[in-house]
Amino acid sequence: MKKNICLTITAALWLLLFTTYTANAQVVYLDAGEKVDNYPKVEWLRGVPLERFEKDKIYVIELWATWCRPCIEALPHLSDLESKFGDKVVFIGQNVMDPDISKVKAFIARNEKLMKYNIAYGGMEDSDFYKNWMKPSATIGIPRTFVIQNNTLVWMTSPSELNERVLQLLVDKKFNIEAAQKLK
Amino acid sequence: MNLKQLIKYSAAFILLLTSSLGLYAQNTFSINGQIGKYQQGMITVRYTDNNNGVADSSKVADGKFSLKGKITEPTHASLTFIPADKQKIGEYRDMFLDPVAITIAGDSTLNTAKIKGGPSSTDIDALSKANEPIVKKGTDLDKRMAKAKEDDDQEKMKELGAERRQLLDEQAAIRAAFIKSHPDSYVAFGLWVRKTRGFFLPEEIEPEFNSFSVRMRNSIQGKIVTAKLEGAKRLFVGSTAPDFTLNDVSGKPVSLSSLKGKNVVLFFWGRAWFPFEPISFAITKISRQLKDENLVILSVYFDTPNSSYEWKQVLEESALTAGNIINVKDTMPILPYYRKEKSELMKAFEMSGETIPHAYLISTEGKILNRSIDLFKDPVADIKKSLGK
Repeated sequence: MKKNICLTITAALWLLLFTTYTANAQVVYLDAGEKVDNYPKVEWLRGVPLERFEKDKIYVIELWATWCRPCIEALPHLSDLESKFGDKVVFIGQNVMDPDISKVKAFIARNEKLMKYNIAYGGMEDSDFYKNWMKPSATIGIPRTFVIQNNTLVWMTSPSELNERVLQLLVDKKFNIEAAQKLK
Repeated sequence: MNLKQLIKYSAAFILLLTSSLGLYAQNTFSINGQIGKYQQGMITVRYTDNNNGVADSSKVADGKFSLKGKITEPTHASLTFIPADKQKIGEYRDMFLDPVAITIAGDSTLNTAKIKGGPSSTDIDALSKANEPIVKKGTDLDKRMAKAKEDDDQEKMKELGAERRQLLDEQAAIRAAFIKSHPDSYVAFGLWVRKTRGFFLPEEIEPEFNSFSVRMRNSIQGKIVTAKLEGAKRLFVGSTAPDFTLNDVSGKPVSLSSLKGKNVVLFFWGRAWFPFEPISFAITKISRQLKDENLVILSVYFDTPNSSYEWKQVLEESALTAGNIINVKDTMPILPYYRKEKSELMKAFEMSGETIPHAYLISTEGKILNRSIDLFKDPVADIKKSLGK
């Protein structure tokens, strides 16, 4: 009996070790065409938390910060797309490089009408989002928009290039970067 | 001090004075300044003489100061004035040193004082005069921009932004005209020579260089340009890439010539480059997207012997560990072009702090196919084009 417990504990330890190991496996390169399975660990401030991307869903992730003026200017545009494609596409406003989460929360409360989608807080250079998303995608400026379909990052772009016609291409499973760029 | 000592010191002083007059008269400059009588503090002149940085300071008492030094040839300099009163803001001013007696005269700040000196001062005056309308327009534009910002008028901001870009173009045109009309001016040459920092196209630079006077072409900066041009010509598309051997991570020597039969992306880099992420991203992109091509990346890492960076750790962090990347290291700091401490590899590929990071594409036969792979925009497309694909 004692032995059995020991074995169970060892197994549990191994499992723990294994899961922490896989969770810490760093993403080293994130570019159009690369597979993406997990969403980095972030703090969800609004909407449905996302841990793993689902194969049959489309995701639009837009990086923003409270200090980034062009990011703020793009917020209504994302809400607008959400109201039209919300049933087919998951929209995430991913806050990054904002040191103070309370300021981010206050900003969201003030601009509730502008941000009708999922919002997460990422953090600074030591955060999981920075290490596993921003660094491997060489994101050194925001706003930046990431589009994911079929567990694949299909496009890294800016809010100004993302419009209804591009989203329709994704919904119709006809998306490619060349076609999207023609719809600017 | 007794009389004997006084005589001794005076004699030494006179000797010093006459010898410097006799030997270095043509190279001595002096600055005598008188700005507002209420100004007290410290003034520092900084300049580069024969590729060495020099700084010299003088006290500013009742607005008066004097500085002197020796220069091999006229050179750009800067003046920094730090007031004794810490509440007051300091001043910075650009100028040119000619080997003459220079006067700086005014009754208020350093920036409003008039500088009189040799031919370079005259040239700076001419350029400033040509720039006057731009400065005036710029000041006015700043005011209107501040107003538009205050009103949060986005449309107006866009419009004024376009106006600013146009103004900058005008300023560049004035500078270009000044350079063209002053082929024997150290000021004009100093402005032009900035074009030759970093990677440049010799076919574009050479005719412009040749339009300067012999004196300019033989100046300290001119000689550097000549050397850079000769180097660039050795590394044209079609030339054989210089061979070299360096050790890889396991300590095994790898030579460029041992990679014959494969196309080689020869990538020179160092960790000190900031921001570094786009560079490692570009190389990983090449590594992944061209993994089925007959291509290897020879990644040459430069670092100092006692660096705080651990090479292997840098490679892991940068994800430059794929099978088609061969990492080698040259233990040599990346320094400005004129510095003599260079490895054979740096000399062979004309490298300096201004040109790194940089990547060449080398053919299966060891010939240069692309002199400068576009690392930031679309490196894969650029390589494919050079490979004729």
